[in-house]
Amino acid sequence: MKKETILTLFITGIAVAFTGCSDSSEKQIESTSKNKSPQSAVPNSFAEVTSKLDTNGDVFVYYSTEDVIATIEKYAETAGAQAVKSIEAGPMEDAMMESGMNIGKAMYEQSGIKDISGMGMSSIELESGMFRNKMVIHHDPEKSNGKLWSLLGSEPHEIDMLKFLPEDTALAFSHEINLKALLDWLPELIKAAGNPMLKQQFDQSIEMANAEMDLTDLVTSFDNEIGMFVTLDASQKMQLPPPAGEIPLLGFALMAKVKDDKISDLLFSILENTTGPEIEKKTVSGIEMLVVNEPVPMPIPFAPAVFRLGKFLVVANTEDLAKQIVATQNGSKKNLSSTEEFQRLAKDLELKANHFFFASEQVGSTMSPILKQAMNAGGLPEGFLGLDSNDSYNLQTLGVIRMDTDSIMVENHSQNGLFNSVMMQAGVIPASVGAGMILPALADARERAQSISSEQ
Amino acid sequence: MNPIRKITIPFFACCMSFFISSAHSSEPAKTSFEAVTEKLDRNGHLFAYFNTAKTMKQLDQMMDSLLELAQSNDSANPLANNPFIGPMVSGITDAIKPAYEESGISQIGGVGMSSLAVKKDQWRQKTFIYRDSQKGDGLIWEMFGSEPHSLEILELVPAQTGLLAHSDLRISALMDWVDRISEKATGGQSVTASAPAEFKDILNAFDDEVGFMMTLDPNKQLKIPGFMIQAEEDLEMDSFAFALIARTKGDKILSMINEAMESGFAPPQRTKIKGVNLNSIPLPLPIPIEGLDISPCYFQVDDYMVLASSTSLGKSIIEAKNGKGQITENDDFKSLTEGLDLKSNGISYMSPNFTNWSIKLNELSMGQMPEELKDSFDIYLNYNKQIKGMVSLIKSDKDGIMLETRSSVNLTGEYLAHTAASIAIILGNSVQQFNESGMFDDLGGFE
Repeated sequence: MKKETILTLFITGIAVAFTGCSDSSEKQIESTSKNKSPQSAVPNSFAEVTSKLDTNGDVFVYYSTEDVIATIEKYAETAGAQAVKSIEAGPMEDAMMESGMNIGKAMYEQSGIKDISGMGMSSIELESGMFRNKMVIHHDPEKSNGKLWSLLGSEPHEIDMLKFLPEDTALAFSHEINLKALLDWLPELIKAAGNPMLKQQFDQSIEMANAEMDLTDLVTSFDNEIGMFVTLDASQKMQLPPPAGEIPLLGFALMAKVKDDKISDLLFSILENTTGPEIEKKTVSGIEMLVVNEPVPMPIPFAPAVFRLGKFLVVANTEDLAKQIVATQNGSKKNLSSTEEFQRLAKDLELKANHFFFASEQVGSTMSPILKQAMNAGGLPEGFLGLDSNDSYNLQTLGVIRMDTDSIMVENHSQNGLFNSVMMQAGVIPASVGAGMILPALADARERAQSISSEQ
Repeated sequence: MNPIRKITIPFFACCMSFFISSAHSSEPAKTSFEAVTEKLDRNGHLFAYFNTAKTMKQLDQMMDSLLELAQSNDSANPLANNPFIGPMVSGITDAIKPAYEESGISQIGGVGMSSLAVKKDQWRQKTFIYRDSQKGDGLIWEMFGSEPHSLEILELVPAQTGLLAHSDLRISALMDWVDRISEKATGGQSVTASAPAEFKDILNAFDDEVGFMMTLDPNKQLKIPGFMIQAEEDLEMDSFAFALIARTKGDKILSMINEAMESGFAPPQRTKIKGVNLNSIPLPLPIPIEGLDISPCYFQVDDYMVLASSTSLGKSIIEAKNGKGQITENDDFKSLTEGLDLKSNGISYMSPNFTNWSIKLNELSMGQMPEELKDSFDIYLNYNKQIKGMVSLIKSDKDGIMLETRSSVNLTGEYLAHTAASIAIILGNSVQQFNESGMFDDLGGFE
């Protein structure tokens, strides 16, 4: 009896575990399929790509790119060769054009673009107002020599920059780029040009750069990560020129990860020897920094502070922000990761990655009145298309890019779906703001032109 | 208010509204993913699904706002207050909303596409438009038929057919749609009620199927004189003939045509072939192209009325109807449709011969193409020579509309890339020709 009970519990447990698994949103496409489709007679990367995507959402796309890339390659090669032939130029220009073509060809050959076997994307609403968007660029793991697969990072890792971001960070991004590998690639490309004169010029330039500022050492000193963030302090306000008007106090900082002091020493020495605004060396919470004492006249506060913090070289727009960054890093102030908004966005998102980007709800709420003013200036009625809601402009998103052994994976959590995110952030909002700002100006210009013409 | 501002800014705002997600719903709505993707082929080179429900909702809102703006009595409204275009704008805006509502577009709940290599040189492409039938009816779901059926038209199509396009077309559904719009926009007026009696007779006699076919005869070459096509040499290609086909109830339409022809310049000559009265229309002048047979005829064969460009094609159609030389006996057609359920609402077919024939036409433009584009265009032409025809079926049922295509190449991959490249080449060629024409010299040309 006891054995039977244990066996029953065991089987039930396994059944429950499997049932639980099947309800996961990470379902692969095969498992949701009711109809069993035949395998493709022409090999493709369908299974590899779609296993990384979410089914049952609003968007699901897989596209095999191999034959498309090969076709484009054929046309590009023929058109490029013909274009060079058709241009009438002297022997020098001909040689330069041939070198350019050879470099372009070598770049393409070595970039890894031709190794891309397929692309996929998906978008699913995980809970009300929270979408997970994914995009995959796949390549055969055995074809990983392309520069594309190594220049932008090699293995996902913790995002170090997160430790530095103050809790009022509104916008942030961090990117990985292997400058050393890029610098090593350049001589290969120049060699591929097959132009000894070009190679000589390049070698001389590198020699000069090394003699003047140890370029190779500086590049080696750079630790492949660069980032930027913007803070919006709602407790303080600042004025921007119309139509922007009053917005929360804006701060920003640039960060670069370094292996040693070479880059910071060079920057410090340049700043100390610069004639212009007075620069003071200060120590804040044990961190030595160079601070510009006299603010530069700009619409946003700008009296930069430059300092080395941990493995990062930081340039903050003001000393106050520099202090805030130091306090955040040493834990005496809350960081972005502790905020409710970040935690909601980061839920179930693997933050080990090579690239990172974040935009808070504050970006939308700050832009919203500006956009509304721009649209009102264009003569649109109040509440037109329901655009009076602050939620309409909410662009909050948290995303990462991971360089995996067989793919580049872009994954983000956002308030909007894939299309809306891309369209809103890259196209519609800039276009709307542009239209709102430019059209009244154009109308004024036209009226002025008409009045001048009628005066004459 | 500047009219440009008045129109452009709402346009931008509409785009913006269109793309703002409906993130304000209480919980994520179930999508049509399963309903759409179960109709598609997984494992292929393309597999795509888009949930259109939210987009349609945004489209509704966008349309309401724009119509409201266009119809507003605001003194600054440049459209409504213009004495010339105001009434026209008012009429159009009154009709737009009912036209959209009755079209059935808002019932599109999702769209999917797939492309799978069934064999090395046989690809199956599917496009499915899913219908959310709970949202009622609409024109697009009725116009192409409501249920797939046997394609009786195939009994009429000769084996040497190069191009065929035939589909259900419910004109009565289209007219009902027009009437419903008219009634809503004008407060009860019906378009069909006030139409002439002959028009109603034709509508009543039409039996919801219409098509076009073109045959190629490799044994008979037509010669286009070089001067007609700006070429040094005459162009020789397979002779062609074409026919229009409509399914009818009885021979009412045929009688109407007979009446009209007999009162015209020359009465048709009647020949009886296998029990069918073939009416040949005499031409006033011969066609000056050697090998091109233009001897129009029309006839009724069973439920179909045919208008053919040559009497020999007319005869081939009648013979096909009598079981001799049908398209279904053609090896290329059989190969493309192998394992394909031909029950559908429409079919389109392109034979390998037709592909080669159209390449010849494309080669005509090669003569006028600059040298630097010729090599690239050659890649396109050579690729097209490999295409061994394609066939598409359209199937409309309560779940939506499915378009299934069989071809020897991947239409959404390599073929698409070649087509895009050829368009780019043709555009490049056109720009160059425009530039050389001197029309744009004042603007500095395109250089």
